[in-house]
Amino acid sequence: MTFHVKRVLRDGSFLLILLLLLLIPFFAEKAGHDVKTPPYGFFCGFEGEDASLLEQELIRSGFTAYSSEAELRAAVRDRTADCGIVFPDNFDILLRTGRTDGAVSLILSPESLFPELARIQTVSVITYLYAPYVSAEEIRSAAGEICPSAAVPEPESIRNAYYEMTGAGSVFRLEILSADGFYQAEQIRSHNLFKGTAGILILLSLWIGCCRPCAFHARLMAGRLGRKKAFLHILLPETAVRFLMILMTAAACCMVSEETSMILPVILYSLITVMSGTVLAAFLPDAVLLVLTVFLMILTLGICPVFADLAPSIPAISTLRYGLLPYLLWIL
Amino acid sequence: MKQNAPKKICSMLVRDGILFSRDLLPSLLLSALLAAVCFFAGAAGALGSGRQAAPAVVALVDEEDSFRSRVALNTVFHQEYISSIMSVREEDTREEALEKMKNGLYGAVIVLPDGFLEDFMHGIPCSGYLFVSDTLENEQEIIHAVADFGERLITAGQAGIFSGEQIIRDSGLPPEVHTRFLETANGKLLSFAFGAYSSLFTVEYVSYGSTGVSLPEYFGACWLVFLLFLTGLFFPDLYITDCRGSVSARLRSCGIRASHFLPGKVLYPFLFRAVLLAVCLLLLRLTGVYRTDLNVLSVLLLLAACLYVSLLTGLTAVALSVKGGWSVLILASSAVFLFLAGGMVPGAMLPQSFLKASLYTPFGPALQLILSAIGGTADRAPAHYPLISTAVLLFYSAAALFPAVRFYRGEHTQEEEVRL
Repeated sequence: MTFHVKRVLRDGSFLLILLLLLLIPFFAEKAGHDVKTPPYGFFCGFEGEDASLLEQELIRSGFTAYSSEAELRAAVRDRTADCGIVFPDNFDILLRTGRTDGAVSLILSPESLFPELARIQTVSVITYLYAPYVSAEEIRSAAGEICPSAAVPEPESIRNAYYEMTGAGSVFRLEILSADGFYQAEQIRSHNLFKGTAGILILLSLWIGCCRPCAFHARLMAGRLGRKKAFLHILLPETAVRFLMILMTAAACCMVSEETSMILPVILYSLITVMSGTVLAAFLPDAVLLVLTVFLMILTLGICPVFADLAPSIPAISTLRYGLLPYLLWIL
Repeated sequence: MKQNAPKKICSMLVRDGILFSRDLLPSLLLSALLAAVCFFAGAAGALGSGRQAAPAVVALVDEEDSFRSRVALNTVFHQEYISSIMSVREEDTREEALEKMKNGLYGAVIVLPDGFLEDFMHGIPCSGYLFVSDTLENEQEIIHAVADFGERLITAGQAGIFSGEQIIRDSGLPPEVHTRFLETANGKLLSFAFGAYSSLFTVEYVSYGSTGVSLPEYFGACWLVFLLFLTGLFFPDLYITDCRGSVSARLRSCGIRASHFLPGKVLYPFLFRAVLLAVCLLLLRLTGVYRTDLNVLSVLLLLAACLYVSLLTGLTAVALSVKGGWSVLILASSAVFLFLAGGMVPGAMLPQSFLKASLYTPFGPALQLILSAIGGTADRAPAHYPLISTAVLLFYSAAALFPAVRFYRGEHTQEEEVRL
């Protein structure tokens, strides 16, 4: 056994493959966690009292004002703003008349993280500005139908009364208080990237770093020692040594990534992978095994939910991925 | 009879053609399969670029627990856009909810006290409570934003109704106007508030970072380059056969030099890659990923990308053929470069230094050439990118050429010394 351990430690390419496994915690820790959403930006193209109120409310909600639409678009593109809201120059007229459908442009980047929040906050501000116009319109409409001869109040008076009331403070408030808790939001991206990276790198390590060289060595020695002795004295011990080293590295990566619940699935997955790899390496040429590994790795990225789940769009994927070894990490 | 150089090159091209044809059919099949899996992987990467987080779990305690309060709260919290960012679960008592929050089940607890709806409808100041777990990070802003949304809506609704009522009273309008106003105003405002999320906005997308192309186009370009690099694995006969000691010695003894030996190793894979790239671009255009029309310059840029990749992979394979491991090197390095270029994990998740570093990798020039061909980079990328890409391209081409030439000439030189 000492002979096999020394032999393995002298294999530079195997040690490189072990180093590759160290990418697993990197993916889970660095590339997996959701980054903080950049602030939202807006550009107000119209002027007037409503414009000032709009700006005031949006800035209070954490938005950043931009002096031009081009500047806002550049900020979204460069990711200094998560998304941008553009109010056209006739928005005050559209607001007064209630013709706001499609009036506001929402500028998104392909990497916008949370535009839903910007939309919600914008809707609440627009509703806040629109409310007095609704009241004025409904009073005008009701008075016009019920007592056409009566003097209809001016919209401006309703608007003044409205802002006088809101200026006095909200009748309903939600008091925000901090409290003890242990809530941890589920880090979906981090989990999936961890499983994907672990699945792919363990497959690569075991098939290319473990089974392929062991089978090659055993084939070489089979002519001299005979198949049985080559299997018992070369293939098995060397595979065991390489497998254990890979397994220990993978388990250490699980602990470093704080994915301790994945240690047992990783062990089971590794066992199944090394057994399948040993059989394939014994019967397939090296080049074919390498190509098969490449395909499995890329296919895993595509049809397992590492980045995104394509199964809702292509239902066949949900069946197909059961044939992929790395998908075991999602099942186990 | 001595052959002149062109005849020697032709002889080697014929020989390389035979070696290439042995791998052609399997290469076609494998390339087709590889292109398909790369398409899925690239699509998954492109789709995975946005936010991926589970909705924050929040408890709601309705201490009033009347029919009207249940209807009102259901209407608000079951709006699709609210439920997509916040998962609300009802609890019976405040103490129970806070205990569960302490145990990590909830990120926040909303408490609406008994009588809040009655007070609210009569304009009497009232408040609810929002207890937020101190372990919340990014989710805090979600909860605050939804709380703000609710507060503003309620304020707008209340003030809108009360100001209208006040004006109706002050104007001396009949009570029927007041009744009619109450019936319609609230409904109209609520319907506006809940419908505006989808109807108010016209959505536009900017290009992906400084690339000048959309996200699917960028991922498509990354995975195309990856595919071009990986096809180098499918021609082992072409690269390895003539590099064996006995064969290369025989070739050298026939007067075949490096300048006769190497062109075939680059030409046939280049032609294969050019056809493969054309087919892939056609398919991507049919699927709507690429919309730009190709002109002469675009075609030249694409051919340059194929030539560069063929040069790099072919000469590397020749230089390392004796040592072995060239296929693993091409595979591993391509995967690492693809990652650095933001073709796997979205660019927003990577340090900016990675994306800048990818420009200096062998992957970088090929990616820039393809992006330029499909209409990208243009006015978006820093002005020095084309210069850097050209310099990097020349550097790596030379870096691959010299070892290959030295490999082929190194043994020749030794044998000459031995004969002398």
